[in-house]
Amino acid sequence: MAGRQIAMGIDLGTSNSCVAIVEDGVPKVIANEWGERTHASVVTFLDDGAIVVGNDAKKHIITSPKTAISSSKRLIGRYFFSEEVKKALTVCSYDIVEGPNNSVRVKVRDKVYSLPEIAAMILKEMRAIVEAHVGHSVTQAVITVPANFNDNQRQETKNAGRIAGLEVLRILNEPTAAALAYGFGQNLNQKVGVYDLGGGTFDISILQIGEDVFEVLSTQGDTYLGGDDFDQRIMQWMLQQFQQQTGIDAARDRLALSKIKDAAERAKIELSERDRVAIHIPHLINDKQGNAFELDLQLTRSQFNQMVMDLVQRTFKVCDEALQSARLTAAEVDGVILVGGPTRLPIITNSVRHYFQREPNTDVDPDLVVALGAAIQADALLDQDTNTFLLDVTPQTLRLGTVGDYTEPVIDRNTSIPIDRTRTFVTAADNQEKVKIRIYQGESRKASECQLLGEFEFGGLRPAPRGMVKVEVTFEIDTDGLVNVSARDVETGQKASTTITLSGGMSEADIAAAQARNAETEIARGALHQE
Amino acid sequence: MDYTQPQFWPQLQQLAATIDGLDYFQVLNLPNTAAGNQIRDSYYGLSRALHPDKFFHITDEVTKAAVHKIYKRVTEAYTILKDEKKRIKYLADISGPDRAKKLRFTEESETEQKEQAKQATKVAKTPKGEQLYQAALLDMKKSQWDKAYKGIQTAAMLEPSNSELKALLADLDKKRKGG
Repeated sequence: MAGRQIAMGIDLGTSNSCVAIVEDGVPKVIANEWGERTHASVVTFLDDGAIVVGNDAKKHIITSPKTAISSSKRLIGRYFFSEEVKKALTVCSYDIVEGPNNSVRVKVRDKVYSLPEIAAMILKEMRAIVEAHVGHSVTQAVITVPANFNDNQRQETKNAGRIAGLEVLRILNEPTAAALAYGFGQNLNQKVGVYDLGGGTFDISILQIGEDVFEVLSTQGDTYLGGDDFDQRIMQWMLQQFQQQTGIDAARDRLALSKIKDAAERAKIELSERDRVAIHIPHLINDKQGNAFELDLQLTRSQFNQMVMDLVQRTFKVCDEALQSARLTAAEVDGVILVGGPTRLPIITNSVRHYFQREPNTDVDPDLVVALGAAIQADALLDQDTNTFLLDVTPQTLRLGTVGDYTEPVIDRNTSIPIDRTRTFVTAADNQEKVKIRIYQGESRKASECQLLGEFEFGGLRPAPRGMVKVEVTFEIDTDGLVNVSARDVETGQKASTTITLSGGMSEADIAAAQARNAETEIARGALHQE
Repeated sequence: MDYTQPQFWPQLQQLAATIDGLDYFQVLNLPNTAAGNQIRDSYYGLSRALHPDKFFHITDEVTKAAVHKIYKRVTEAYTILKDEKKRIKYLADISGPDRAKKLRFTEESETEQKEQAKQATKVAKTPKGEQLYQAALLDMKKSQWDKAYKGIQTAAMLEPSNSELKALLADLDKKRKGG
């Protein structure tokens, strides 16, 4: 259709990002001007003030580890005190600092950035790639997230889109996007499993595809298990070997560490093709006397497989839970789709084949499939004659804080969305003016073991003796998987004013300020290619 | 039928306004005897007709809100009716004298259903302890922290190795001291 709007599908990954659009009815990944279809999710702040995003930015990781921000998706929507952030503090070479309300910030030289701001720079680059291809401005996008992302992480991803000046049409789950790319226009009637091992997250989703309807039966994930962890295992081994050989702890040297990280990642990728790789870093580190040391090691595929076996097994525990929740056995799944670069590893492909007792589908490229699905969904949303329907679920149980450290479930995980539930609260004191509630996401009865989403205060209640005012609170999970909470007086129907009194996310004012900064920020595109 | 066409909008708005009076079978356009695949087929059919994504492009906010409300109820009906146990319980609920109150599967219906499951996973392990625990729960609802604390304290003495009671006791101690 001539003149139809174009909307992008963006796979905002932990390690790599990818962007696609639908052109003449066909979903296509858009390559940048240099032919690259996937782009490292790295933002580098160069000494001259320029900002670089993508594969060029990644080239700086070794030489300027403190100003090259990688794997930032692991930090988005997290609290500073969370286990995940503590872990990141030990492995990230750039500075992670605490922001207001227990939030996480990244510090580069004297400037501090929120995680959505970093993500917005990556999104800005994806947008530039599409705009260079189509020759005009494109402002609408579907952005994907790991299925197991909670409300805070989804909200912050959506904020990243807004900061980049985009209208975010939908926050879409990565495995659901992959299933869409796989089954789109195929009139399938089958159950599929999507095994999605990304750079930093693992998700498994089980879907029922009924021609044009894609129903997610269950999803399960681990937001802190991914290809990065496989690299880590190789790194640890390299450091250990090096220390045994030389007595030097290379982990203390940032430059050496980033060289090791780079070599570990390359060794992992090479092991997909070969049984044995040589890892050689000619000049790794100097000792106190100024003598240079090299690192020279051999790594076999079976050694590597042993290093990561427990990580692989962890993914299948998650698969067990997802299947159980969908009330299916592995053998009842008709098709398996692999998503994410790490699924190219023979140990993963073999284990998946063994687990599901069938050959995983190889028609779709695991690095591109999510962006393609996102583009299909973006296009379907703009199309009046749309005939693709995604029926997704909420990945984590929505909970209400009760007494002490306890919570009770309001909407169970794997419930189809959009949906709402209501709860009624009765005033406990005479002339009580407000009701305060805390909501959480997670699978534990203990609030301290769940993720706090926010504290809501419903004010302006009419004066009455205690027990006389009933407040009906509605908890809604929308099609983005985002949580909305509202309240009304049962008797009068009057809506209560709602204030969020505690939240780790960005405020509207923060977003507006970040938008302005982002609009001024120029991403230096292709500087290295022109050299 | 293409409900995105403006001639159907008043009908959608009307349905949204009256949907609270329908039971889940009516929402899904099914007889009370429907089960299994019938429920899924109806859910898929209604998704094709009424999924909010289909209305994404229209600009009439009232109709959009109506569709959203209807579709959320469709999802809710599907969620309850596809579950064999919940469907049976729900059918009994809406066939009884309290039909009007039980059109939506409520917390109470869920609690009733979970009672049995709870029996198996009691917090307290002794009958006396459980009795004290239940009484303390009621006290907690009424914000009578001191009373609840004393009850749980006794229960914890009966069951010194029960870590859940211990944790609750610590929480209540904070509460009664105004924490």
